[in-house]
Amino acid sequence: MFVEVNDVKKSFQMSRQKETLQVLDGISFSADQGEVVSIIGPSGCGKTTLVRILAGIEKQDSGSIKIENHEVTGPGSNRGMVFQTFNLFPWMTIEQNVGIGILDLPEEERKKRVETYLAMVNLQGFEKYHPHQLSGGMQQRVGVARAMALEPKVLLVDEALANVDAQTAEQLMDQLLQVFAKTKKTVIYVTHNMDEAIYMSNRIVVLSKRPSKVIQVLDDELPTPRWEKDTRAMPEYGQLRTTLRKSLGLAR
Amino acid sequence: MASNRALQILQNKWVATILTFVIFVVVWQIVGSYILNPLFISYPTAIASAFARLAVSTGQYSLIGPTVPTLLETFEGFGLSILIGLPLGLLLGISRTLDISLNPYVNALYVTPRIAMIPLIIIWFGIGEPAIVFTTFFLSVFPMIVNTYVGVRDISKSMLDTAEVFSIRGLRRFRYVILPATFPFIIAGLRLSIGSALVGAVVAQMILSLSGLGYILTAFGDFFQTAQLMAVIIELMIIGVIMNYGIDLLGKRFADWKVTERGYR
Ligand SMILES: Nc1ncnc2c1ncn2[C@@H]1O[C@H](COP(=O)(O)OP(=O)(O)OP(=O)(O)O)[C@@H](O)[C@H]1O
Ligand SMILES: [Mg+2]
Repeated sequence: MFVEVNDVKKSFQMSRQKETLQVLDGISFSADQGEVVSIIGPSGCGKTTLVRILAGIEKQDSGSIKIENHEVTGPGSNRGMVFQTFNLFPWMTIEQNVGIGILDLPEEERKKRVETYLAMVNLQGFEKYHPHQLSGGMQQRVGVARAMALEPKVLLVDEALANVDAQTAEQLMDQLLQVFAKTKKTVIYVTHNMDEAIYMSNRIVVLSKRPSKVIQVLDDELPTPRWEKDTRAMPEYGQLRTTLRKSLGLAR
Repeated sequence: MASNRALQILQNKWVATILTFVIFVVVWQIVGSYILNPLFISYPTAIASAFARLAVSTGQYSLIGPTVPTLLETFEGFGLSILIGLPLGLLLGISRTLDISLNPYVNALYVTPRIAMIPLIIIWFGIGEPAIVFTTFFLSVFPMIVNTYVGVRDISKSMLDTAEVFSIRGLRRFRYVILPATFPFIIAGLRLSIGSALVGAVVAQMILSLSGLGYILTAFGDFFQTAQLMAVIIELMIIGVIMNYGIDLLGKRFADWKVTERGYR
């Protein structure tokens, strides 16, 4: 397996009281190379916490995470992350933001990568802008380009579309899917939106509410290439959606 | 219609500014010369002529000559404050250990009326330029330290997390994240610091010197030359405004992203 998450548990110490809040209660799943695996679950169930552990900026209490059989012990450039809140550096221009994770590369190659990935998210011409001069959707595309510029083995995406409007989100979904397909990236894609999960992924990991466990792992075999509108009209789409609703406890 | 038009003109920023200024000066002129004894705060025409006379005269009791030591001592103290306060503020913000061990003293001194230290400074340095520069430094270093420190502490967790995810560590973290994120606070620190430095230089000269704008302020006061006194105060005001403007320019040049982000201007 390319990415292996094995029995990961995590609790937070509540600062004032002595009690702890258990968030992740033994999460296991895996992802093959080139697969897009969605993680879906109710708000507050620990999706962000899980992604942060995968990124290496939060430490699990127990359990292990392996990428190509190497244990994850901290952050590293084999993983890129797209944040729910964009998290661009406001003092840097767009090209500086995109190039910030690849400072070790020779200048020439760095430039080329910045160019490549800005083009991939259709942001040529905005190199010298600052983040606040861009719309939310554009900012998130910069976030995607910044993560992709690392050319990471695994791309971690945490509710990338939660902070953009519905229309922009639909366009971004198509763009993201194209980027994933073109680069054959392995992606862990967190969302709380069923349609997004179905549309974007090859597999869907359904989490319960806190303390969260994996309820079910659904295969998503809708034909590719997918296009937002067409894919949604397919009968298989409706079936998968019903299964997912049941799994999330929204229907019986 | 006509009143509408008048209202529009009044809402123009410059018209409003100039109009209030004219009203202010006229009222001051009348109150200062006819209602109050001119010794109190004098009045605009007297101050203007005192200003003009002092501006062209030379020697100890003029506007130009005494400005030199005042500015020199202000900038010497301010320069020392940057050299010492800026790195110290950054270090306090970055290092937990330093913060815990030094911050109580910095805070205590920050809230102490620092002018109370002048007698002690006289014991250390005697009377003269070193004592003045030290007073200036002592007054202006704390705003520098504290603002820089607060700036580092104000960096959001999400920015630091992001730096971590993209493996920006050590010196790079300082250069690409901490320093630029703190920059707007450093500018605020510089602004407060240079203002305090000017206060420090003037107060110290009032007590410790026989030259400088601080000294002639006391001298004019002793002789009840209110118009001349006011002329010096106005000069100090102009100096303060120019210094502030300089810092503003610096801020706009180097922390432009913050200025525009807040929709300032
Ligand atoms: N650093 C922390 N300290 C204490 N509690 C935390 C911390 N981070 C997260 N939590 C708690 O862990 C739980 C899960 O948070 P998390 O952000 O992972 O949820 P989520 O599934 O991403 O939610 P959402 O869909 O709303 O983004 C929440 O109850 C939150 O309060
Ligand atoms: Mg979240």
